[in-house]
Formats: sequence, C-alpha cells, structure tokens
Amino acid sequence: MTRSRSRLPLPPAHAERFETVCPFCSVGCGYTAFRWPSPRYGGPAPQRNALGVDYRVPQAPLTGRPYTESMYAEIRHRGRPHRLALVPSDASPVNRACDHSSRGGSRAQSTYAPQRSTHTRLTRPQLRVGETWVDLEWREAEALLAEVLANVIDDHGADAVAAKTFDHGGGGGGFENNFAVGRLLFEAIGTQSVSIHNRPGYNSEVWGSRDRGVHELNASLEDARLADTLVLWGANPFETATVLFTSHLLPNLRGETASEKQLAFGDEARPPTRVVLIDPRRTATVVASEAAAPGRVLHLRPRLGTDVVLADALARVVYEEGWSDRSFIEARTDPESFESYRRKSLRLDVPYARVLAEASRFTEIPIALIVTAARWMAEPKSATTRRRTLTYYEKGVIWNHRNLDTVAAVVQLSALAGNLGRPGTGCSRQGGHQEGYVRPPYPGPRPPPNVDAWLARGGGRLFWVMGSNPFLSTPGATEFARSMTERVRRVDHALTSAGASKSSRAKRIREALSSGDGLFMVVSELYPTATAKAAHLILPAAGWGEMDLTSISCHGRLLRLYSAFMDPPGEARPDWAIAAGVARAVRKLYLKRGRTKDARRFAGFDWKEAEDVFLAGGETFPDNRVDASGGDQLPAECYRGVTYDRLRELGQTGIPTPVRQDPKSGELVGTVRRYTHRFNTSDGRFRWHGSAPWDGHPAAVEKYLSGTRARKHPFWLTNGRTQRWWQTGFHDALDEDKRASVPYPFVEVHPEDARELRIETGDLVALFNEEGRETFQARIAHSTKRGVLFALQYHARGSSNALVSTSAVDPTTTIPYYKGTRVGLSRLSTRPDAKPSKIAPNVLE
Amino acid sequence: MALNRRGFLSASAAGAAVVASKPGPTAAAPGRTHVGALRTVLEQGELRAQYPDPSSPIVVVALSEPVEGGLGPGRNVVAYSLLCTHRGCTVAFRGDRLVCPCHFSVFDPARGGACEQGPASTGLPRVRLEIDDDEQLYAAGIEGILWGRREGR
Repeated sequence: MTRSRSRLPLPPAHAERFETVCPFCSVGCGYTAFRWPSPRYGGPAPQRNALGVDYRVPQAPLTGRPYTESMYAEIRHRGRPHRLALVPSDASPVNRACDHSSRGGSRAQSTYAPQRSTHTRLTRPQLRVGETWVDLEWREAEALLAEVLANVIDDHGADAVAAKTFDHGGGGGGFENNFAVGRLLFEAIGTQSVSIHNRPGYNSEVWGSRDRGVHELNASLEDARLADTLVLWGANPFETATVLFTSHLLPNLRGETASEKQLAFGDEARPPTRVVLIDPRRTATVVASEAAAPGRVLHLRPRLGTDVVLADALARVVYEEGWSDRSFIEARTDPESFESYRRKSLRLDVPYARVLAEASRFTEIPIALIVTAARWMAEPKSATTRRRTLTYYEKGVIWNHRNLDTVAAVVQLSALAGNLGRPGTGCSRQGGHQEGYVRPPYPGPRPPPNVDAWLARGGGRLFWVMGSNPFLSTPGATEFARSMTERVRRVDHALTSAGASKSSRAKRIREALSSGDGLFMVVSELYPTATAKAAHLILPAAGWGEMDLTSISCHGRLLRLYSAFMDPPGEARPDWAIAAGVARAVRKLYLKRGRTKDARRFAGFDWKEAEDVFLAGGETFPDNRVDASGGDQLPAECYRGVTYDRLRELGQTGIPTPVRQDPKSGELVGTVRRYTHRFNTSDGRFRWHGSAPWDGHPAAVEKYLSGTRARKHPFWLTNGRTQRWWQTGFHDALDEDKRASVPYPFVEVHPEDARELRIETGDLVALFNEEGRETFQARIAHSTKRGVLFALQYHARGSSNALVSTSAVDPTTTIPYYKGTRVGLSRLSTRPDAKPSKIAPNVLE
Repeated sequence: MALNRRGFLSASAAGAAVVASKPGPTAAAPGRTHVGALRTVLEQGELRAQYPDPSSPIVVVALSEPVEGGLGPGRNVVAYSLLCTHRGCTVAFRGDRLVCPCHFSVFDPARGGACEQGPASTGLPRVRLEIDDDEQLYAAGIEGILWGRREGR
C-alpha cells in the first residue's frame, strides 16, 4: 500500500536526475526521475532538495509541484538500495505545470524491487522441461532458439515462424525495439506470419485515413487549444488520454485558451467552445465535459456498429446545408474520387429526407440531433470565416464494424468542411499508446492473413510472442489459449524424454515438429503472464526506465529521449538486444553449416548501444533533405539525422516529427502542423473513398439476433478501458491500490436490467456466448441504454475479447470488430471476495 | 466555515509547531484538535475544519452507510483532507463522494479515501478522529501525505 508513509523522503540536492516520458498512454507526459542512494533524503529548504521546493511552507494549489506517495519507490541500482522519485516534469509542453494522470503518477510503484510485488519480474532465460522451469545462460538460450529457428525455416519455410509482437512507442517498444524486432522478422527471417500485439494480423487500424493521404496523428496540442468545436468519437480521453483532456481540452472548453486564440487568429470570432461526443456509453468524458461546458455538449449514442452510417449521414447534412468547404475541396482534393464519394457515401441519388430517416432508424439517433451535430461540426462562423473543428477518434471508431469504411467516413467528414491542415483543426487518432514505428516493410499482402486463426488451424511450427499476452487478450482468447496450449504440449516430450541431453534438444525439437501440428513457443516478457507460462522458452525483457528508448507522442508527434534511470532486474535485456542476440546466433549457426548466403541475411545486428539501433532505424527513412512542402510527404515518424545527443539537448521540449533537414542550412526542422501544403498521395490531393451502404451486422453478430440464439443472448455488449487499470494490467495487477480499485473486470448494467436479473453492484456474473465465457463484477450504472452492457475490455482476470469472434474481422483490413457482440448474462455469486467502490466511473459531478 | 474558537486555537498552535520542527527520519505526530460536535456533522452532513494547521482544510462527513473505522451511532462519520492530492484544489463532499472541481478526481470516503476516478494517483489523506464522552470530535492524526507537503502534517 502506498498510503502508510508518515513522511515522504525528498530527493536530496545531489540526487542524479534523468529526463523521461511516461510510458503508458498516447499523451506522453514528461517526467523527471531522481535517484539517490538509501537511506539519505533531502531537506525542506529549497536548496536542500532536488525539486527546489520550499517544503517549510505548504505549496499553493495548481502552481505547486506534485510529489506524492505513489511517486516514490525504493529500488536497487548497481546491486545497492536506492531511492527513486518519479515526478511530473516542470518543463514539459505536454503536461503543463506538472499536470499528470493516475498512471504516470504511480509509475514508480511498477519499478522492479526484490522487496515489492514487482519481484515477480522475469530475470533469467528459462526453459520449461515438462512442468519444471530450468534456468539457462543467455548463450544457451540464444543457441537453442537459433537452431530451432533455422531448422523450422529449412523444414517448413520462413512463414512457419510466427510472431505476435508489440509495435508501439512508450513502455513496450520505442524506435529501438521496434526496429530490431522488425529487421529480424521481416528482413532476416522474412516471415509474413506476424501479428501485432492487440490484433490477429499485421495491419494498420487506420488504412481508412492513410489511403486518403492523411496520417492518423495530424493534430497538435496547440490545435486542441485553438479549436472552436471538438469532436470526440469513440474516444474517452478523460480516462484513457487523461492529460490531453485535463491540460488541453478542458481549458479550451472552459474558455481559458481565449488569449491563445486571440494571438493566433486576431479578431476572428471566438464562440464558446462546443464539444460533440459520439459514444454509446455515457462516459466520464461526457460527464466532465457537461460540467465544464454546460449547454455546449452534444452526446450522440449510436446503436452498436452503425457509426459508419452516422458519419455519412452527418456528411450528407453538411453537404445539403451548404456547410462544405468548396474551395478546399477544389484546391486540395481529388475530383474523380469525390464523385464516387458523393454517389456512394453521400448517396446523392437518394432523397435527403430518406437518407436522414434511414440513418436515424439504423443508429437510433433522432434526426434533429444528427442535424445539430453536423451544424456544430461544420457551419461556418460567418460568411467569410470557417469554423475550426478538431476530431479525435479512437477505438469506438477503429474497432467498430467495418473498420476501413468507418475510419474513412470520419476523416472525410473533416475534409468536407475543410478541417484538415489549418490551426485548430484536424482529424486525429486519440491513440491508445505512444508510437515509435520504424521497420523494414512487412513482407505479406494487404489485407494480411489472420495469423491467430491460422495458428489455431495448425499453421506455423515456431511461435514467438514478444511483449503481449494473447492468451488473455486476443479475439476468442480462451479458445486461442486452449488450442495453442495443446499444440505446445505436443512438443514437450522433446525436452523431457529420457536421454534428452542439452546438446540434443534442438534435434529432438526438430523431430517433434517434423510431423503433426506441434508448436515450439517462445515468449519475451517482463512478467510470467498466462502466455509466458505456457511457453517452452522464456526470455526476460528489460522495461521502461531500464533502457534508453525513444518514441513520439500522439498529439503533436513529439520525439524525446526516455532515459534509463535504473538497471534491469537480473539478466533481463532490452528487446532490441534479445533480437540482436538471436540474430547473431543464427548467423553463427549458418556459418558453421557453411551457408554463407543465409548467414548474410542475419548480419548487421552488432549493435552495442540503444543509440546504434536508433541510428540504424533512422537510416531507413527516405531522404529528408526537403522543404516544408516535401515534409508533408515524409513518414510521420521520420527522424533521420536526429541523434541522442541532440535529444538530450532538447530534453522535454523534444522535436516534432516528421523531422526534415533543411536543404540549405542542414538544420533539423520539426513539423508542427501537417498537410498545410499537400496530402501524402502521389499528386498531393486528398483521395476520397465511396463506401458501400449499410448491409447489416457481421455474420458473427447477426447470428445472435434471431431464434433461440437471440433468447439466450439478449444483451448487446460493448467495451472499453478505464482510468484506474492500464490495458491488461501487466503492471497494475501488482499494485495493491489499483487491484483494490478494480478487483475484477467490471460490467456496467443498466439499473432496470439489473432489477430484472436481481443483481447488485459487486455481484460476480458470467457473460457468455458461443465464442466464450468470462467472469465480470457487476456495477449498476446509468451509463448505457437498457439492453446494452459495457465491459472492461482488459483485466488481469479476464478480457471481454474472449466473447469476440475471431472471424468478425473487416475483410479489407483483418481488423477485428471488438466493440459489439451479443451475450447472455447469469449471476454467479452474491459474495465476491472483493467489494468494489460504489462509485460508478462516470459519476464525477 | 464551521469552526469553533477552541478548534481554531489549537489548530494554530499545531501550525506553529510545523514551521519550527527540524528535519528528522520520522515526523512527530501532530497534536489533537477539537473539530466540532458529532451532532453538527449528523445534522449538516459535513463539517469543515482545519488540521493540523490553518492551511490544511479538512472535512468531517456523515456517510449513508457504516464504514470501517466510522464513528457515531451509525459508524458512518469519517474525516479527510480537503486538498486534492493531484494539484491541491479543494474537493467537495457530494453523495458519499469527495470530488475535485478542477480535474474531476473522485475519492471514496468509504474506502479510506481511495481515488476511484480521475487523474489523482494517490488517495486523500484520512484524518484520524476521536470522540469524547460529550460527543465532541477531535482530529488526532493524519494517515497519508497532505498535498504539497512531505508529511501528513
């Protein structure tokens, strides 16, 4: 428990200081880590503590420097006890004035220490021999994996090497780890059987935007402060991108950014900021927005799966009412595809009234609300001044039914009203986490294969899971875990049977894989997750704070250096070093076997430091010696020319990507605003997409809507994340405060449904359908409409993804429809072992 | 601000002690301060006071259900610091919740002040309450670190 302390040790003036960035959500708040040897501490006078705060007097609200129990931890460094203060930076343009969230503010608790709950960290390579885990030296582990890998490629082809891996920034990845892993999988091995941590294939969730010439991270924090209208679509930033909301959206809604608007736009009209929220659930963000901007909040609650209909109906209103930006459309967009958009998406051959009536029927949103929302989004402020509207969308859009069409429809609604490339506008992903993507091209097709489904059918012979927990979180997780475990067990005898000596391991594994559908499984991880426990080989990974890494934030693409401030536990290594070690071992093996050509593919992994990998990744971006107009067409992450030294100089200020090198001066120039000149298409014009009309729910959901199945599965189920529990809870499950706050994955039940089912807050209930069954803790809440349940998507004790069909993917992208299915609900217990707070997540006022 | 003369005087005395204290490995426990009558809390639902010094507002609240460590016949009276642990704004007691008006952190007084929603990373410090034979309430210590300080005092 973090509350028991009577005095908080201050970092002494001589404490070592490291600049870093919170690893969790998409926002990327700046943090400063102070480390000093135990048992010292600083004094209350400002010159006697490293925070420079005068603790002899109480600090003022809002301007004082936050430092709480959750920001302090006792750690080990270089084998000796040290103390760590991990506090919000006072120099970050992201979390201004030391703002912070519950996640970053408690990240110190997730640092490794042998005396705290994080002692469960994986610290050595381990091989499972039957039911026993045997420690291996890194050298042995690399040699074994290298031999299995090379044999699988020889016997079954490169695509028989499957992987599920992180691809993001922040804690789980960064440019360094992403590049090393990508180079190993795509260039050296050359497999297409790779999927991304939270989905069954190797795809983009936002091809619907990128195909338009618009990268999904196109709004800066400045835009968030300058917009006249904010649109939050399937996004709950108060809970999941908290400081974007508290430091930027909230001040705009409260009128506190008026002077910045005056500075940016002079005498342009500054109507009180409005916000349109589109979400089937009355989220905490809806409630907070209403409290901050009474009368200026519009909440649209579409029926699950119908957001694409809503987006196109809103666009039709904009078009019919004359609110579209004709000069923008003519000057900046492609006329040919615009015709297709007008015909298919705007459905101009269907009468306006009928389109609205149909949309209202499908979405269950009154016509008047649709028209008002379109007005708030697109009606010009005056005959000569366009409204500045900024849209953030997130998983309610990208994980909705018809991923590509829905994303395209939302971006096109912005384009129609000219809300791209101008200050105070944009159509940007809120993002789930930071980014840090640089990899050689994926060697598979678009859309990519559904690797999960292929593995479940017996595909692949080696499965390497890196920093993700698919047994808990992939679609149809329970069934996936069962089928993978069965396949893995078929290889166990190769490691246990009599005479299974160390030297013959790889040979026996090769024999075991030669017939049948056995699978050798490797997991690189921080913790012994459910997935890791099932593996044959575990490789311990270093985490955030234990290695230097770089990433970009999602709101302004701010590139910064996340400095290491402590050693990894035991022999844990950064993922880049794990990938490089295995690559070197494969190369050595090929050379021993006299196969120099194959060995060559595994060359170039001789990195010594994280920066070596960063620089190698940077080299793979296109030539960035271009002017500002050329900058619009650089990859969003391009950092070519940037070094760690430069990032250290820039500190919390960072540099926004894409970075270009000025053709004349050679200076590195960041990009504050994208697409002011061109879009990222061959001719620089925005490409429109005409989508098909509404054709019902996907078959995997439609089957529950009639007959016996409808009676057994009477509820719609949607899902999302929550403030107090980050993703699968890989860290939070070890934090006593968070476990007490969210003891189980919860499901919000409408009070009238709860009355009929005779369930109360705290009861354990089962949600089930033909895909799976999972246990949740009920919370009675006025958050969803009657007949609709909202479940926490991920928790250490289960995931609503167990109820999602593996086949319910958008056939054009292989992105799952996570956000809507049908379930039955039954009460399990009225005496749970942990009582949750009675406070519903959206009761804020 | 409901605070009687006796409470104010002893709160002031404790405040003076903080400024004079020397840094040491553990903080000395602050003194006991009268905060008001149990009856006032039960009648008004909440009672504001200052403890352990005038710049630390606290609130004594009567919850709708009994809670662990609650005082009074209903075992429902508890006390907390009013300063949000996130940025130091003054929280408000509403419907069995303590809510910050600045960034909407929500604390549960029935669960030791745990933060259940919003950006705060630490729960609200709980004020130890004592009651005498005349049903007068006293603040007698703080569990947790007060906003902007390095200790619960």
